Amino acid sequence: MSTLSLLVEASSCSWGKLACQHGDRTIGIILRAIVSFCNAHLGQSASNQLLVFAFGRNVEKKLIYSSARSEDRNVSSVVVDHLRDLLQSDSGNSDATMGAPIGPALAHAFCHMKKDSQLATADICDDSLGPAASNTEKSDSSTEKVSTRAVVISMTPIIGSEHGSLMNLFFSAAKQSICVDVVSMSDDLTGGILQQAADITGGSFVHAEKPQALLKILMTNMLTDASYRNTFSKLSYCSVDYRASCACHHTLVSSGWVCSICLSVLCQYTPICKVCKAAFTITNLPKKPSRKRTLRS
Amino acid sequence: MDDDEQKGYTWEAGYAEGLNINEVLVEDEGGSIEKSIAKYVADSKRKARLTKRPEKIRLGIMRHVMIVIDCSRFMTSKAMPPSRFVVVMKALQQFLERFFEQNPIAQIGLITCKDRKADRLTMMTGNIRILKESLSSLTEAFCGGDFSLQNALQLACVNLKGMPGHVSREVVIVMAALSSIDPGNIFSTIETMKRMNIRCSAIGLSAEMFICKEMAKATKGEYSVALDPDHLHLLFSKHTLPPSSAKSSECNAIHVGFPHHELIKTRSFCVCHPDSKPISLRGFICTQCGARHCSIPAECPVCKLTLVAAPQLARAFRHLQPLAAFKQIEVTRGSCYACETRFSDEGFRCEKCRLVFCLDCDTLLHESLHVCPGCN
Repeated sequence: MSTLSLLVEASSCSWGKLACQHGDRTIGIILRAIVSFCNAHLGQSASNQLLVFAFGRNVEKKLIYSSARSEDRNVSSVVVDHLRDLLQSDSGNSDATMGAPIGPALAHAFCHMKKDSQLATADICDDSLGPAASNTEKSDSSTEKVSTRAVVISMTPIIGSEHGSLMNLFFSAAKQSICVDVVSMSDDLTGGILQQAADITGGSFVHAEKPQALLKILMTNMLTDASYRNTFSKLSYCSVDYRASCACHHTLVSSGWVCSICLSVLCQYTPICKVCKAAFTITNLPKKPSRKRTLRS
Repeated sequence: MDDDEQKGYTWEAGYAEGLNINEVLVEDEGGSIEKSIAKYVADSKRKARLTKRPEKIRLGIMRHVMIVIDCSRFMTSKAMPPSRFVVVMKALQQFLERFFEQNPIAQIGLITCKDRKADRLTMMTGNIRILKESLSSLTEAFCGGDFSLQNALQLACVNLKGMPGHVSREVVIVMAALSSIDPGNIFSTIETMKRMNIRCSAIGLSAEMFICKEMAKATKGEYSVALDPDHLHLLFSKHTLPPSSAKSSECNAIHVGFPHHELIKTRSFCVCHPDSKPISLRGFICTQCGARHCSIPAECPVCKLTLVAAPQLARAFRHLQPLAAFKQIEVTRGSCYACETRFSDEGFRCEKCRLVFCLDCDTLLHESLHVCPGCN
């Protein structure tokens, strides 16, 4: 049994941008790929569960399809209708900012999947960004294991302000042993934070160059459970960038200075933190008799 | 005043501090108070959830904690089945996991105390694997003799003395003994700890002791006594949150490296597994000296550079901007917004987006996710 959450970006700007780049049929191709993938997952086993979420700036009801609900019978029509409605209503408003906040939708998905993953907490993933040592031995002990996964289809790079909260989500997903797979359709090849997310949770990150490639990627890389993936060769073995951007010049640094109060990263040592204005104490300086104190007394 | 209406003796009030023992610990028909203890633990859990985390307060995020484990003969007592020792070890293993999840750049050291002597089990380290291994090397047969609070505090003090001024220094004592055999004046040791800004907390396993209470009060620590294994977990989890630190405390900039997670093709040994080959083909290369690590966060043993990933650093931010506590309300109809389970009697409402969540989701959101699914 496996539960899958599919998170689709529902912002009309980003869908529109893709349609401009790749031609008019893009939207239809993407919708068809999503629907085929949903059906493939449900068709694999009668006990498989599916949740489809839409995330975007103006999305009120994020959970657009749940296979546990009795009123949602036909996946294809429900998902397509809801996504089309969302995109249409979103295109009507004048808000032209790109990007969509993914945090709340992910939190919603993880909350929904927690009941399933609670049954399967036989092995808790090591939270230390490295390979979990105890992962492989324990998997055979629990016979009826429920696997929980999330697949994110993102079309725009994630905004920086969400960074901190998203990382919390991904680390707790790793702890709940939810594997997060990401398909990025934006121009950005590395995907930034979403690539890190896939690496932390043990999922894979793939960049789709054309909308036509989406279905192939979903079907070949993201249809199987995380437990079976060891048998196949893993594709995203390229190095994952964990550098931080410094607070002073907003450039990525591979080693820097961290303020002990506000934890902001500085690329060069400065005696005063640029973010929280805390004055650092320098320990190794020879102490001079301070003039101020003598004046006061 | 009518004598019948008085609930307990006046002197009891001083001990209870807001809780009436007669009320909280009610005996059932069999004369057992287990049920009342379970209720008390559940209540304090709920209380902990409903209290708001402070915002805009300076926290001691870089924590250096020495954990003192009582290994005296009182630890083998079967008061907490199967034995206090087993229960504490289990709780400590869980605590370590949760602690490093919440405090990625903190360090922990372990001290054991038996035969009136304190010994250092592990150095200050940020590596959870070393800590867990040394914890599991302890056995119940190791325990014996008496406990010495002063020796333990002095050893912890020696270990914490060399730490830089910007870190938050803490000692957590897990204590089963009801006596402490000390070579000198314990109050002067407490005074030293206070002067050195070391926060001393204790978790008692048997009964409350005056000296622990005094110590916790003087050094701004916490002292509480565990009622049962469940309560012990709760008390430990209180220590996973970083304490607030004084405005006057020192601050400093720490040199850190952000290594890539990459596939390493050249044959090499890693610094974390000296006896065997590296556990994975992928690893982290220290940005300063080029040593290979299997996992981060870690302090490079070669060049002493702290290695972290930017996401781990970003996670620590959530202590600075916590998710506001949800309000508990009575609901009978409808279902949880996040997981769509039907409400039985209670729900938790986010004050910002007015959506209602069930107890399980509320716990998950506040303990690990820290993002409200309703607020955009």
